[in-house]
Amino acid sequence: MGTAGMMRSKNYSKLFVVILVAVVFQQSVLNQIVVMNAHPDVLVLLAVCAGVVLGPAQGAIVAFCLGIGADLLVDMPFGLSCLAFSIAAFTASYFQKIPMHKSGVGNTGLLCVSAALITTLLYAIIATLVGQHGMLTIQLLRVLVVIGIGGIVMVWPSIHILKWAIGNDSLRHSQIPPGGSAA
Amino acid sequence: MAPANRRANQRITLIMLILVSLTLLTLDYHGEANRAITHIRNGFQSAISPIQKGIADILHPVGNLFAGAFNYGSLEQQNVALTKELTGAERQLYEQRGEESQIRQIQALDNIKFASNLPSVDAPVISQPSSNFQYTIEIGEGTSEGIGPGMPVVGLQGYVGTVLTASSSTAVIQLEQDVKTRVGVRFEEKSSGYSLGVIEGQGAGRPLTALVNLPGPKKGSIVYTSGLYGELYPSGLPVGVVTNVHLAPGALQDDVTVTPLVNVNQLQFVRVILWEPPA
Repeated sequence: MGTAGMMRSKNYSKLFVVILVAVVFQQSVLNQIVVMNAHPDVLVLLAVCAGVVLGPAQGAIVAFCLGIGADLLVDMPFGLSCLAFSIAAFTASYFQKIPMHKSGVGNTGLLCVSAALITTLLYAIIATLVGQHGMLTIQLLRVLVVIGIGGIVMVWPSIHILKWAIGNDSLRHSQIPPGGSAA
Repeated sequence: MAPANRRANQRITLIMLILVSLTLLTLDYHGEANRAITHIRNGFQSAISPIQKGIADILHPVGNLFAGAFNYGSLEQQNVALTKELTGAERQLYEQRGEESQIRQIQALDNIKFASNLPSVDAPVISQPSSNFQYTIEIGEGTSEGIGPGMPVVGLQGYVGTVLTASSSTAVIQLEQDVKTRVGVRFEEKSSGYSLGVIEGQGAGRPLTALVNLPGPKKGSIVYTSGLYGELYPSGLPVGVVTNVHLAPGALQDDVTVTPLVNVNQLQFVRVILWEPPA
């Protein structure tokens, strides 16, 4: 039985709480930390971590819900974050299965931060395709730098919070290494 | 479940999520659905705004909350008590200074000369940009005070931006440097009257630009909202100063660079002018 099969309603409640807290944390705390006119983004990071921790299907669903939360906070086309986050979580979960990334949690963290940066780029590209102006500018580079640095700081808490949310039973059946340090 | 079936199910889940996302995106471009989504957004932002304000209040006063909690002995206790007293006095002083600074900002808003005959609401800035790709701020007043989308927002020096969306207790302001900003302006000069143009935002931290028919403005000209019939803003709001004028060979218009008058990073309070463009 996979991770999905082991999920219980209690775990879903925990995941819901994690998503809600993440959205409030993003809006109340992280949005106030503005460096180079950009701020760190825990929602995109949690979305790719969900793919890595929960697997492709469950991860994409959680990422979709995080996307809804992100879309409610900003005045951009609704559904944009849902689309980018779902694809990112699904893809990240497949990269997790590559042997290189099974070797340690350090690689998992690197995978999540890299995936978060690619997701931000994907978001900007999709937004441009649906008619949003000024997405692919020099500002995007600044945003990627800030999200990358913020991601390095927040990736371990994010993975561990998701591990806590899905519970130990599920974790025994998941692909992710049991813990450790990026160093 | 066989691995092939599981993979197929996973792909179906992803396809379903992509389809739902695309449906939401499509609906967002339609009038009725867009209004519904805006209502949901405003409701959500209203719901979390008390939490947001509460967290801001908790994070703001940095005190020695745990200092001395695990210390024993009279000397250490005395030391802790004195430190607490000193910290409390310092905090009071900082709070007093902070309040004085806020009061000064509110009082300064009363000295604004432009648009003084129009009704307005003063509001605190409660949040920096929510999106990395939009140049917006959030203020702590909303529709309950009469604020609505499209209303101009000013600071002490001049035009700050436009109300993008408003919930009952908060509103999002699109700043003048946002790439979606278009403002009809006139370039005032002491000697030769004025010329008209439309300035456009170029993104965070970048000056505004405009194309202006020849003869264009000179460096140092002050830029005001034009207030021509059908314009989105009332006449005479100061917007910026012309810092560069470039005429490309063969061009019929000057390429004008305008530096905004307001430093949005230092804004604590803004004034929303309760003005709507004529229908």
